[in-house]
Amino acid sequence: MAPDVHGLVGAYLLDALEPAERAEFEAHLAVCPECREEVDSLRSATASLAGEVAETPPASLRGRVLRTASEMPQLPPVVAAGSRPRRRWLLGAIAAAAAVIVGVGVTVGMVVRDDDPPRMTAAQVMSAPDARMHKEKTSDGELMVAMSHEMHMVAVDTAHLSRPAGMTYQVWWHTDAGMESAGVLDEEMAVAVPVEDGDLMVTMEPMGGSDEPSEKVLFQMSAERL
Amino acid sequence: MRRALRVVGEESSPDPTDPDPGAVLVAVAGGDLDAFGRLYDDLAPLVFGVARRVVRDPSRAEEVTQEVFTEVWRQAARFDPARGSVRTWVLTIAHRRAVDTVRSSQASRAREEHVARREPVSVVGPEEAVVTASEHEGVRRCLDSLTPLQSQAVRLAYYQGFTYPEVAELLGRPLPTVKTRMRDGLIRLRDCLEAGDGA
Repeated sequence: MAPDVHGLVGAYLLDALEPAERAEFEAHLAVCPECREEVDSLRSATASLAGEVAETPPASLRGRVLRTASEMPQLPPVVAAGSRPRRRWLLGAIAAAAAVIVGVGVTVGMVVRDDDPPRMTAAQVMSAPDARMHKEKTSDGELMVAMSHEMHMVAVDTAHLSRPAGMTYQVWWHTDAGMESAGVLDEEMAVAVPVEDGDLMVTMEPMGGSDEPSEKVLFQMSAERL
Repeated sequence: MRRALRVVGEESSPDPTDPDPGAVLVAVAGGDLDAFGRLYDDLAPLVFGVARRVVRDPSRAEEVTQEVFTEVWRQAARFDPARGSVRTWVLTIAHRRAVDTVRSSQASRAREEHVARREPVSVVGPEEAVVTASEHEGVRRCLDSLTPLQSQAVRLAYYQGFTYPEVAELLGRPLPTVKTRMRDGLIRLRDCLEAGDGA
């Protein structure tokens, strides 16, 4: 068993491998009984993650699914002499999921260490099960804003913005009480802030932040629409 | 909604009146459309939920759900109960399909999200909310037993569809650490769920 490949079991189960690595791992699975055993033993736990996000599909979908099936021939079972019965399930899953895959690069500069104090980080908010990610194209690049209603937090990530020298980004809440700064991103690329009842705004400001937002508004959306 | 209740409790609360989900799939493999409809009723909220979470755009999520069930229909005879439950099999197909869909359409993703965020947040129906409540809490409690890094790595990959190098960048951690945390996290999740700590 190649330890390097074996270490990818978790990433494989979470579908977090790039296409080439996935293919390599699956080739390895075919010849590594221990790996298959571990993968099988963790499938159910991985699938249980779906329980957190169950959502009723539109009623009309049921009819479409059944109609498509009624017109679709079914495949025969795989029973060839010398076949590996234990691989059937895997092959089925792989064949079923076959699709064009294009790798994608996402860069978010942020440091979260195990020994960090237990404050809410932008990564935590972005990884919340109910997080809704908004990507706003601006003239300076892409701004990511993630909202978790469950945590009552919003994460703002500016790592993809080309920050001009001497400038910073500032997060604001515009509520009935007026304009309030929620954070200045002088040193960090991303920040998590509690949700207020009003509009979230992200602006570009001189280093150190401003008392009031400038005219350069990159993002604005009410909390209830986030 | 008895049906959905039954399947959610599939592995933990056997009910003598419940048909074996494996048996349902045998019927599906034999071309039984009614059985397929029952399987759909049981699993569609989970499949659609995963698709919706990963691909976000509701109409794309419907397409993914349809593709997943079409594959389940086609491949039913090839399901091997020795490898895991029907539910696990279907959700394995669903997650991978959702992730592959979103990665193959990264270029249009921003546009879709642009559209998606202008739509009202979809609400989980009351039936599903009840149905999944106990399981949901179990998973949640077990996820909470992970270290923060394990939990973040698992969630970013599963719910957001990030690759592990993307997760590593997102968390500012080396690749080997993220790989290990994903694996350790799933092992701990499994052990917790099997011990019934989350129930």
